[in-house]
Amino acid sequence: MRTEVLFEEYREDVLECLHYGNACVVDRTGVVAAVGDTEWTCYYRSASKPIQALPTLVRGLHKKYGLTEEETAIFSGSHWGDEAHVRVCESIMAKTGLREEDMVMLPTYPNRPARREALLRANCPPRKIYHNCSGKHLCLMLLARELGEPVGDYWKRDSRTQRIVKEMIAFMSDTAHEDIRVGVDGCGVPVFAVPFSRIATAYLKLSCPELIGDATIRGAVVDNMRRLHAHPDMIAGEGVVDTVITADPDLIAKSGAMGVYAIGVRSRGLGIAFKVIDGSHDEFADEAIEAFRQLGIAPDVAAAIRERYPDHIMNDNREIVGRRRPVFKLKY
Amino acid sequence: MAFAPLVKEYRGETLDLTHFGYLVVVDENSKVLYSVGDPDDIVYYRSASKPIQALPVIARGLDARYGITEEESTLFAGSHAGEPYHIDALESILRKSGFTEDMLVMKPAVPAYGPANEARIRAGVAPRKLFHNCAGKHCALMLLQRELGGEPRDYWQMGAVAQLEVQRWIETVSETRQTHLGVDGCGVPVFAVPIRCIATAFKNMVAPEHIPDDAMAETVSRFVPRIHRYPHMMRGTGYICTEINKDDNLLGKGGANGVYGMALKREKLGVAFKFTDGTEHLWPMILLEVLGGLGALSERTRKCFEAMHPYDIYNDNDTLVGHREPCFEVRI
Repeated sequence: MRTEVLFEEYREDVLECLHYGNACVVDRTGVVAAVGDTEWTCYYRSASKPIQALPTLVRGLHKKYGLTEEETAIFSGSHWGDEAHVRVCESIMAKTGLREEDMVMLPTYPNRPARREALLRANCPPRKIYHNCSGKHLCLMLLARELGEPVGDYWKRDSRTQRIVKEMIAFMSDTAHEDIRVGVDGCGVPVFAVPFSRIATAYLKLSCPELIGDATIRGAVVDNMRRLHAHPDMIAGEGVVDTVITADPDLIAKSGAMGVYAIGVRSRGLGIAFKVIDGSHDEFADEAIEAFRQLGIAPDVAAAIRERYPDHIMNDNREIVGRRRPVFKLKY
Repeated sequence: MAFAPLVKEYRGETLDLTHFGYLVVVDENSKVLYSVGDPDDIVYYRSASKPIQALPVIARGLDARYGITEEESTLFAGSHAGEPYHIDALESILRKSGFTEDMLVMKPAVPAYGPANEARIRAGVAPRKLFHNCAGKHCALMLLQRELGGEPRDYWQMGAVAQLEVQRWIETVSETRQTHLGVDGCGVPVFAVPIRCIATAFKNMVAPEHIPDDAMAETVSRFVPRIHRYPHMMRGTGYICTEINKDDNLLGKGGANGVYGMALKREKLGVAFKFTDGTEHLWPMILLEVLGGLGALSERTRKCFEAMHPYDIYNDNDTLVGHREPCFEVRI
C-alpha cells in the first residue's frame, strides 16, 4: 500500500516528526481526489458509529422506548464522558431497562482529562458508561433484545445483532458483505474494515441521503443527521473537533481510533476520509482545516477549529517551539 | 531524509499501522555497522542527552561539594516519573544547593506515573515544577550555571554559560560539531545531531577510553556506574529506562518523540533509533530485536521487555486483538 507524507513537524528549523497516511475524496461518481492508494483495506474503528446505529433506528427502537433526540444522537458518538453524556446514558438505561453491568467493556474514566480528575478527586469509581463507546453499546444492546437474543451477547461476532450491523456497513459502504473484514475493537465489539475509499463513500451517503436507494434506511439517516446537527455535543463533546464540525448543518465529521477521520459535505456532495498510518490522533483538526482549504469549503468552520487547535507546537511552558505543516495535495 | 518502516501492526490479519524510523549500530571506533535509514540524518536528542548533560556538574565535583548523594545525582541524568521518592530526592537537592523550586524555568506539571498522579489528584495537591520529568536536569544546569559565574536563574537561555559548556560536552562525547539547537519541552535548549552520533555518544559512555578528552572520560567512568546502581532515578517503576539500566552491561535513555540511545558495554557497541512519527511505546520491541540480533539479550532483560507485550496488541478489555512485526533484522 502506498502512503504519502501528510504532515511534517518542525522544532525550530529541524524536521523532527513526520506523519504518513492516506486521504480520499469521493463524489457521487467515485474517487475525485486522493493521497496515496485508495482501495486498501482500512478499519473504520469508531468512524462507523453513525452507520452502526442505523439498524436500531430503522426498527424505531428509539421511539419505542421514548428516547429523546439527544439520547438517540449519542448512539452515533464517541463521547468524552461529560456530565451531559452521563446523564443521557443513565436516562437511556432508565427508559429501556438496559443495565450497565451487561456492557462488555471494562469500567474506565472519561476521555476528558478535567472530568477524569474531578471524578478521582471526588473518589468516584470508574464506570462502564464513562467509556466513549457506551452510547454505541446501548444501541447494540437494544437491537439484540429486539431480535430476541440475550442482551449480553450483543458483542459476539456470530450474533444476529452483529450480522445485521455488518450488513448495514456493507450497504452504506457500497461493499459486498463478503469483502468486509472483521476485527475486534478497543471496546470489545466487532470492528469492520472496507476498501479505504468506501469510508468516504459512506460519509457522502450520510450527508446526501438522497443517494440511498432504500427508503427506510434513507429516512433513518435523514432523521439521524438532523439529531446530530441539533446535538453535536453527543458525537464527541464540547470543543472537540468532531463536534465543532458537526455543529454546521452542512457537515458531519467522526473520528476513529488509530488515525481514522471521516467527513461528509452535503452542499458539495463530497465524502472525505483520512488515515494517519502511524495511528496518531493529533492531526484530525489539521486534516479537516487543510481539506476544507484545498476544496474551498466552510472557511468559518475551519477558523472555528483553528481557534481551538493551533498549528504551532507548544512546549510544557506554553512557548511556541515548532510548527505542524500539512504537505499533502488532494490531487484531482 | 531517508528512513524506512521499522514496525507494522496488524489488527486481526489486516494491516492497520506502519511506523517509520531510523536505527543505527556503531562499533567501538564509531563506525556504522548496521543501519536502517540514513545514519547521517539529523535528529533531536531530546531527553536522551541527559546522561551527557549531567557530566559537567559531576566533573566539577558539585554534587560532592553540596553533599548531594550519588543516588540523588543520578536524577541529573533521568526523566523521573514523579514518584514520591523522586520528589523527596529533588527537594533534598534543592535544599542542599540553596535553590528554590520557583527558580526552575518550567511551568508546574503533574507526575507521569499514573498512580502517583492519581494520588496527587485525590489528595488535592496542585501541579508543581518538581513533578516535571526534567526537574533533575534543571537542578544540574543551575548548579553548573552558578559555578561558571552566571546568574543561576538564567541557566535555560540559549548562550548561557551552562548551555555553552553542556554543548561542548555533547559535541565531544558525540564526536560531532554539527549541532543544531531547538527548544525542548521543558524550556531549555535541545540538541540535534546526526543520529549515528547519538549511537556514538552512548558507546563512548560505556567505553570512555574512546572519548578524546581525558577529564571527560574520567567523569564518565565515575558517573555511569551510578545509573546502574540507582536505575529507579532514570525514570520510575516499570518504565523501560529504569528496567534497561538494571542490566549493567547496558546503558539506555529515551527522549521525547521516539528517540532512544543505548550502549552495550562488553560488546562496545552503540545503538540509536528513532520513530519518525514520535512513537515511544514500541521501544521495547526495538530493544528486544536489537539486543537479540546482537546476541546480547540477557534472560532478565528479555523477560522484562516481553512482559511489556511488545508483539501483542490488547484492547481496553485486555483481549488480544492483533500483533506487531519488526520490518528489519539486525545482523553485523
